[in-house]
Parts: sequence; structure tokens; C-alpha cells
Amino acid sequence: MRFKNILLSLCFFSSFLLQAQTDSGASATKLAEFSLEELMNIPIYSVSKSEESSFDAALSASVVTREEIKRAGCTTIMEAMRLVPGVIVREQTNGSYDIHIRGLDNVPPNLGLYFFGNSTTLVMIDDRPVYNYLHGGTFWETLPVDLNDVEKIEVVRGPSTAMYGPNAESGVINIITRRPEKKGWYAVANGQYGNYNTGIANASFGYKVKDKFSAVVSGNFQNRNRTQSDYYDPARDQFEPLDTFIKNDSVRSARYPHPDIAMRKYGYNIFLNYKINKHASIDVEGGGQHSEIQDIFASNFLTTALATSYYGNLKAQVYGADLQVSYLTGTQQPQAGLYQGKWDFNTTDITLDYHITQVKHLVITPGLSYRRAAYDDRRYVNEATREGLFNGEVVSQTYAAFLRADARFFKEKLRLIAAARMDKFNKPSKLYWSWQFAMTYKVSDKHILRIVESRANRAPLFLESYYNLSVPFNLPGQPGTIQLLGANDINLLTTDMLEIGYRGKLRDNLEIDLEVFGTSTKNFSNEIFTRIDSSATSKDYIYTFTNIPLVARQFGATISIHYIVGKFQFKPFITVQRTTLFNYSPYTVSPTAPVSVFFAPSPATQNINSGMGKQMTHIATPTVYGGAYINYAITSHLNVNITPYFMSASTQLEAANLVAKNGINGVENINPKFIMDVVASYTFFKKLTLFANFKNCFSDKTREFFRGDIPGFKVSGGISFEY
Amino acid sequence: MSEVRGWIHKRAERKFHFGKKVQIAVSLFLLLLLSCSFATPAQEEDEEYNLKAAFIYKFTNYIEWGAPSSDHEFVIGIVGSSPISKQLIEIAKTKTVKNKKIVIRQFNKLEDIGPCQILFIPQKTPIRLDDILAKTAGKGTLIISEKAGYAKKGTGINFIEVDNNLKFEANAKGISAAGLKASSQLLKLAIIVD
Repeated sequence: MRFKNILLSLCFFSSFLLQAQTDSGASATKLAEFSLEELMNIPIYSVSKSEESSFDAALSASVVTREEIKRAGCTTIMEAMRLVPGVIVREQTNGSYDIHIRGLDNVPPNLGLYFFGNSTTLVMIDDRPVYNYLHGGTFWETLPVDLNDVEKIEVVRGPSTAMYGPNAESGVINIITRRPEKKGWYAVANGQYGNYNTGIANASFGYKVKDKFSAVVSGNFQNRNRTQSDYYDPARDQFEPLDTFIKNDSVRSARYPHPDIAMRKYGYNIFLNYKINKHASIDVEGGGQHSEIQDIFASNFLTTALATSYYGNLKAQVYGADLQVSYLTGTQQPQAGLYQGKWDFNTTDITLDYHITQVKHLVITPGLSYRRAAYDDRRYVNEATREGLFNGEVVSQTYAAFLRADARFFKEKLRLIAAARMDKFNKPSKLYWSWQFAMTYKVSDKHILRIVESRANRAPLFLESYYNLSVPFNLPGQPGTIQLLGANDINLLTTDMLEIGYRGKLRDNLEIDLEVFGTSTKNFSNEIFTRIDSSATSKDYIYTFTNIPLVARQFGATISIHYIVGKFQFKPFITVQRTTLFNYSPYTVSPTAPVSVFFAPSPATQNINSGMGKQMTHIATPTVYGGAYINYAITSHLNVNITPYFMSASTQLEAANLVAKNGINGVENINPKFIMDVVASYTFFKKLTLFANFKNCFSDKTREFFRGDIPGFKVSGGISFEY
Repeated sequence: MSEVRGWIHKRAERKFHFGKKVQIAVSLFLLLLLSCSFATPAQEEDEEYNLKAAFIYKFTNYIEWGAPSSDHEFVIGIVGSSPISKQLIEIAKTKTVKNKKIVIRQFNKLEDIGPCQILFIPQKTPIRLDDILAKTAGKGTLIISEKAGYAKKGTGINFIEVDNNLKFEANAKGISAAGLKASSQLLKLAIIVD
């Protein structure tokens, strides 16, 4: 059936290609819809190649510029995501956030904390993927760049694997770094200090020669203390001083080397750009970082995460061809002090594509991609007793081919985009197809209608495929282990989406963007108790990653508005959504598993299939969430910015809920949140700016994430300079 | 790669008929691509002037033309011939400036230059810059040029290429001397020359 669809799609698309050859239109009219800033960023000789105004974008996409980030007083890249429509941003500790695009957080419910955080978004820096292969999430603190390096952040909502690559299941976040604009010296420096010992310093220095060559070096540092000192004690289900429940000093200091510190990190980068001529350029980037944070991860609630990494990224453009080669290596330790929580890793990404632009109003991009990720914990664990997550080197390899086409018809009123991608992973071995069809129709210059149909999958995860942990236990008279294993034949989490959208320029100063989306996500997986391997000396309880019949369907809408009146800029946005879970079963047991001490009822009657035919409303994703960017330029020197952010109530459920069933253990009832940040800034001469930054002005002291720290009112002051 | 080839081979054996259909479709598709690639090459010059025309249209949002003229036309003049005229005419078909119809006029001689809100001076122009500036001085005309150093010589806005991107210089004094008011937003984006 799938192949038939592809065949039909190819034929359908081919007929449009023929038509595109005979069509002609006027690009100037289209470009007249762009803002001046957008026009200034369009390469002169690639107008028809890849640039588009956000008004014309075929997918649900938003861009946050460095100017907006600066005015809004964001202190981290994570925090800047609160300026983006359709993104749920929850503070875990001072400076660390959980970031989900549209939702599907805490699905399946009642799971361990590995999949509490987002694991379905493709996060990139300059098109270089930076999500991790352990569970598909992003260790945001390990990004080597900070806001001084950022030109803009592009966010695409909705499954987009065919256009952007694996893991773009809920969307894409691409951080684009900054280059000097003018010839000569370039300098950016920011420093601020505030309560909770929050100190932020970053700077970039560069030089640009004759519009041909530019070089920038940058560095960044952040230190933040926690907003509370107590830790969550799962045994007593309350927050209390750490030494009351972890009494062993060495264990405590290994797991929590700096209990007061929420985040301490530094990074450094070099960016080189050489424009050989109008048709060829090379970008080379490199750098490194070290970070220590405390955030909510895995099964240990607040956990210290340590990471050191180094990267290199080369992007070359020669006429219509793009080549990107990137490499990342380092050590990750997301659960400090725990034997199973440390490994060395390296990832390589190579992508080659070519834009065929000979026909006006048609761009065809065939391409190839290779990825390799290797995680190795042998240096840190005893392989014989299988105390690590992998106990060896585990490798994920992907060969992919893709084809994208973008055609415009009827004087560019109608635009069709089709993309298909084929991924061949080493594990799982099944071939994965993802696709994306988008159509936009410009009713007039001021009204545009869109429709998108797409399918995308999550990247293969080491947890799902290579988990190999053995946890010994000693019940009286019954020594044995619990073994957590990956599977060879796991089906990757897959989302299908249908979306319709409308953008309108209702007045010269008023734009509206509406998207209505429906998604269906299947192939969730979980550690499922499957069998007991008994020997004379040991009884081993085997849990294997297994697909469960759960299907999550989300239906929702996002509206964002951009309104400018005089010195006011007002960009509010809101998302309303409802997620329903089908076939959810709370029993993590295979129907063929034996009765065991760990699972009292009969697996034959209570198992992963017990929820078939049932449905329930998902309560972890807020029904309503959104925010606004409100800027008031009082004079050309004095600026005030207000960014409210809100979420309706939600409830996160963790594995302990299934055991305790008391509505308390493993349950986090999150109050409705209304967080308001205010920044006042004064710019002296050139670009020397002093600012005062107030965060969480109403001092909302309720938790935003499962057993996270209670957010505090934060105040800081600082200076920023640009040359 | 041998792993991929092996897999494709196995798959092809199992699903031969289907594979064949896909092959035919892919071949047709590639054939079409090939035929596309022999089509007329797009004009780079066109692309550049598409962009410049869009810029000019956008500038009108950021400039105040003093006392409103009584007629219902917004005139964009071009000195001599330029590929930009095609693009500006295209924009004029669907857009208006301050609710006025956009009219594109070409002036081949100095004496032809009549009242206009914007006057574009192409890189190759039959008339001397000084003469154009003298003729339009104080008449509320925004002069836009595309030659290195012209903003310094007195045009209001001058296009320059920076890093393969189109940027613009603004001569703030020149703009106000012409009796126009440029918004601070425009000047912020411009490279200011004195």
C-alpha cells in the first residue's frame, strides 16, 4: 500500500513539474511581501533558490531574531523558546528548561523519567544536529554557543523528517549563528549579574576582510545557583535536605558535587567564512564546551549532569551544491555518580545535496546523507557484570537519500512542495520512508492558505536498541537480576499530520497566522517484562523495549498575531490543544510473561494489550498555552519589553503513580502558570546598552516540571556592547 | 554501503513486481528532471533587480513625503533604461503606496525629468549625477542609486552589495535636504554615510 502511494505521489507530482516549465510569474511582487530585514538577508543570486518570507512559508514556522531575543532579555537559548508560538517551555531548575513543540509530553504516562523530556525534536546549530542518540532528547546545556553567537532561531512545528532529517518528528529548532556584517572589526560583549548568584558573560570578536573572509572567536560562561536547597526524597515523597536521605558522604558528593549550583557552563567557538566568489563559499566552525547542571533526568529526579564536548562543522556551497560535514565528540554523564550514567561518544554527519534551479519557479533538490553515532561506556563500567547502560560500543548508522521539490504556478499563486526521504538504519533494519506534501495558495497578496500532510519518525535510539543493563538484587533465598534490554526489531515512533493554515495581512500593521493541526502518533515503546531466565544460581527478570499499542492523537490550533502601532510592537500567540490516548494500558507486562514477584496479577489478563479499544484524555499537555512579545520603544534610547508566558493546569504522571496509586506519589499537579518578564534598557551611544531584567515578576512559586525546583523571582542588571 | 545494496537486492527479489513499478515511476521522474535541466537558464540580473524593486517598494513605508500631493499617483521615475523597470511595473500592477496608484516613468533626458516621489538612477545613466541632483533639489524626490560612492555624492539611498547580500547606504542629510523624513527604523537598517 505504501509503495502504491509513493507511485501515485510521484506521478501526481511529475504532472505538476511539466506544468511548472510553462508557467511564469513575477518574483518582485513576492519579494515585496518581505520585510526590509528579510530582504537584506537574501543572497542576491539565490533569490529563487531557497529564501522565502515567513508570510509565504509553507510549513508552520517561526523565527526569533537576535534583536527580539536581546530586547526580551532572554538569558539562554532555552529561554528564548518562550518567544515562539506553539512551544511549551517548563523551567526545571534555574536556567534549565524542558522544551516541547506542541505537546506529546509525558506520553506514555506513568513512565520513568527518561522520556519525560522532549525526545522528538531535531535540534541543530547551523544545520548540524545536536540532539543525543540515547533517547532523542537534547542536552541543551551542552550547546557550545550562547546568545552572543545567535543570529536567529528558526522553529518548524510539525513532522518534518523529509525536509530536515531524522528526529524532526514534532518539529525542528535550528539555531543560526551570527557573522560580521561590515568590513573591519566586529565585537559583541554581554555581561549581567543577578540574584541566585546568576552571572552571565559572553563575547565575540572578529574581523572581516573585503566581504571575502571573516573570522570570529567567541566565548561564553554562565553560573546560576538553585532557587531552593532541598531535594526530592522519593521514599518519603517530600522535599528535604539532601543529607537526611543520602547519608553516605561519598555517594552524596559523587552524585551532587555542587548542591547549590543549578548551572555552570562555558563554551568557546571559532567561525570562519570564506566567500570564494558569488557562487562558492565555505564556512568552517569549531569549538568546545563543558557543563555541569542539575536537572530532572532518568530515574533519579534532580540529577547532576556533566558533559564535555568538541565539535567541527564544515559547510561548503559551490554553485547549486551544498556539502556539510560535521563531527562531535566528547563525554556525557547525565547521571553523575551513578555507574550506568557515563559514556564517551562521537557522531558524524555528512549531507550532500544539489539544487536544480534551471527552470523558473521550480527547485528540485536531490541529496544523500550519512550519519554515524557511537556511544561507548567501556571505560567507565564493569562490562562483565553489565553495570553500564550499554557495556560496550554501540553504533547507529544511517544511509539516507532524499528528494525535495518546490514548484510555483499561476503567477506564483499556487505553490507545491513535495519531499520524500528514505532512511536505512543499521538498527532497526526496516527501511523508513518519510514524506511531506505542502501546498500554499495565495488568494491575494494579503491572504494565503496552506495545507500540509506529512509523516515523520524519531531517530533510532540507543535505549530502544542497545539497552543492556543488569541490576542485581537479592531477595531472601532468591538471588537474581533485573535486566533491561533493547530490541532488534523496534518500530520507530512515527507521527502523521494533517495541518491547514491561514496567514493574513489584515492591515498594513496587522498580521495574523493561524494553524489547525491533527496528528496521530504510534509505535511508542516501553520496557516490558517479558520472561524469567532461571539458572541454579540466579533468577533473571528480563525487561525488553517493546512497542506498545498506544496511539496518541492530538488536535489543536495556534494563532499568532503581529501588530505594530506607533512605538508598540505586539506579538501575542496562543495554542489550544487536546490530546487523546488510545489503547493505553498501565501494565508493562507481556501477555506471555510468567507470573512473578514483581507483578502480582496474571500477565495473561493484565498486560500491554489490556487497554485495547479504550481511550482517555491526556492530562500532561496544557490545554491552553502561549505568550506574547510586547515591545515599547519609548525613545530611540529607552526601551521596555514585556514577555508574558502562560500555561493552563496540567498533571504529569511518573512510574511511582502505578505502584502507589494514591494520587500523590508519582503525580505532579502543575498549577495554571502566568509568568511575566520585564526588561528596561537604555542605549547610550553606538550600541552600548544598560539594562535591568526582571523575571517571574509576579513571583509565581509553583513548580513547572515534575519534582523540579520551585521557580523564583529573578532580577539582574547588565551591560551589552556591539561594535 | 554493501549492507544497503544487499538489502535492496533482497527486497527487490521479494517484491519484484512492485519494485518494477517504482522503478518505472522513478525513471519517469528522473527523465522529467533531466528535461527540466535543459530549459532556459534564469537570469541572475533579473533576480538582482527583483530584489532592488522590492526594496524600493518597501522604502515607501519608511519615508514621509511632506505635504501630500494632490494627485492620485505615486510616481517612480527611472533615469534612462534599466532592467528594474520591468520589476517595478510588475509591483505596480498589484500594489499601491499610501493608497495611491504606482506609476513608473522613464526619463531619458535631463529636461524630461518631471515630478516624482522616487527617482532611480541606474548604474549606467546618460545624465550626469550632479545635473540630476540639481534638477531635483528640494522637490521632495527620494533619489535612489546603485553605484559605489553615490550616497556620499548626494543621493538619498544607494544600493551596495555586502557579502552577496543587498544592503543600502543612506545619506540622512541628503534625504532631509530633499524635504523628506526618513524613519529611525530605516536609518537603523541602513549604513549611514555623511
